[in-house]
Amino acid sequence: MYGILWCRALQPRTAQLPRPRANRGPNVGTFSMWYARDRRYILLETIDAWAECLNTSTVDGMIRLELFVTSNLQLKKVKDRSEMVVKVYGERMSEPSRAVIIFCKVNGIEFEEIEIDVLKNQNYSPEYKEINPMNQIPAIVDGDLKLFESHAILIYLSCAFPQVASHWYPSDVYKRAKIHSVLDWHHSFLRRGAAGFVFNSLLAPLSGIRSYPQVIIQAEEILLRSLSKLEHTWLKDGPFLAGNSQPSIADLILACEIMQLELLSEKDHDRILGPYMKVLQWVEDTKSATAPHFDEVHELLFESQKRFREQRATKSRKTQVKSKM
Amino acid sequence: MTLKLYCDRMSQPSRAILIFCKMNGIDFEEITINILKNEQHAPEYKAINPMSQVPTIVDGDFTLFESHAILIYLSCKYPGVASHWYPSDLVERAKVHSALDWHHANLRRGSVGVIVNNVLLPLNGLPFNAQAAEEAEKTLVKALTILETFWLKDGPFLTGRSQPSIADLNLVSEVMELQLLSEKEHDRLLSPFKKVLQWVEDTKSATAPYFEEIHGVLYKARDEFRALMAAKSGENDLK
Repeated sequence: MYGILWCRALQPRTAQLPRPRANRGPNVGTFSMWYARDRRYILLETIDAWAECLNTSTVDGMIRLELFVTSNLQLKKVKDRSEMVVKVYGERMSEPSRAVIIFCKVNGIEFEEIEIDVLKNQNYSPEYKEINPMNQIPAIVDGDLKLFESHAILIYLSCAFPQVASHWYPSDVYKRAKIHSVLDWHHSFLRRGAAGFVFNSLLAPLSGIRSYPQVIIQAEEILLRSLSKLEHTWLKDGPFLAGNSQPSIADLILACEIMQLELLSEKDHDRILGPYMKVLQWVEDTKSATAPHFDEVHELLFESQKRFREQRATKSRKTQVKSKM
Repeated sequence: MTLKLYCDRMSQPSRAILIFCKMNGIDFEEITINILKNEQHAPEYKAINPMSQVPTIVDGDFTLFESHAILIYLSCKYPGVASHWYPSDLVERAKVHSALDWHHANLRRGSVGVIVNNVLLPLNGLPFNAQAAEEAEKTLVKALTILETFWLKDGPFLTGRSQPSIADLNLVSEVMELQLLSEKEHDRLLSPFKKVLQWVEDTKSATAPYFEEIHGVLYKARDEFRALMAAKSGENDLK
């Protein structure tokens, strides 16, 4: 339905819908005007309908609005992207946090990175508990939505931001299903193995947390089984997971998981990863596909790797000196 | 060609998919892969699913495993599926994904750990690992608490929904596995969680009569296990 609205003044509101404030218009009673994205929308309160504002002009001191009235306009879904920025809560030592940050940078999604230092227990602060009652990172806040679990976050961002290239989360039902499959597999296998092994063999002792040898052995077993599955099943049909020729969100998540193994000693890293040529190539391919952001976001990890390896080398030299004495 | 579903009614995710297919009138052929007999490791099954896990579907040329992925695929592929199972709204869908992801390392890990340590190990005459059992129970209780205070705080179903989604089917099937415990242990673990118990009942009602029908195998196993454990405990008393 096409219509013309005349009024004396416009007070544009740029905010999250709905929060109307009435402005009198001579033709259709009260209305409010909203900016949403780069378009104007009018709520015609008298007839309880929304209209898209096609054109505005000033005639003899009066403002003339050309409107297209539709009751099907789903304005709840419309947000003013220029006013709202996604908040990403995480830290760059966390594998899934890195995946979300790299994804946003690669796809030009404007975001605010808010560091939550897990070693300082910042994930247990009352402010962060409001964002994510699970006390885990990463989490995002996008308008009213508070979301945690990195796979859910990446799927949401892929769908909410139209500029995201389709290979990240293809709309084809079969390709998408395979991506869901590898993301689900990841939880119980690669993540459990890699994060478990790095945490229990390295990070826990460094933080004075007790770790059990049995747990370390079990984690390494799961990690090696996972790497074998990656090599022989997930990467058998293509450069990227599930036979894809371009990376998806699954590649980003799992490659960031593998990168955590960089914290190990060079010897352990090469022992564990060395046999898996496809896996190593795939990590390089994912890096290239997301350059320069992948390397930039992993800088902190490499700084820690350097520090750990130097500490190990010093400790080893001290032990050698002691044994000679 | 009919959808093939390789599953075992003793497996929580298998039950979720079976109930879903029946509720939504999806034609399928159920092929049982008996986990207790290790049939998932048979070469014929490995050719279908190299991960040797259950359930798996084969839809024409297309093979898929991991139950969350399967439920999402079926929701999207079959037009008769009611929209509340996998909402199309981006925000609602994101929350369902979040609950499904949370499930893996929390409810599933806890529940499986408790069943393995308290039912499967003793049944197979294997030694009881007190530390592992304690860890598993801790994980399970934490998960049940989060279900009670977070996932179920705004609605009868997960993430504040008024109708069940695939997340409810999957997670309720997981809670049902705890039926394999002794009645005393089951009640000790679950009775503090009133919302969780109500949610299980609501999901049962929403998927009647299929829920009870599909869980028949589990109930039978429960009765057998409980009788066996009672007999073993009786023998120990006599000794």
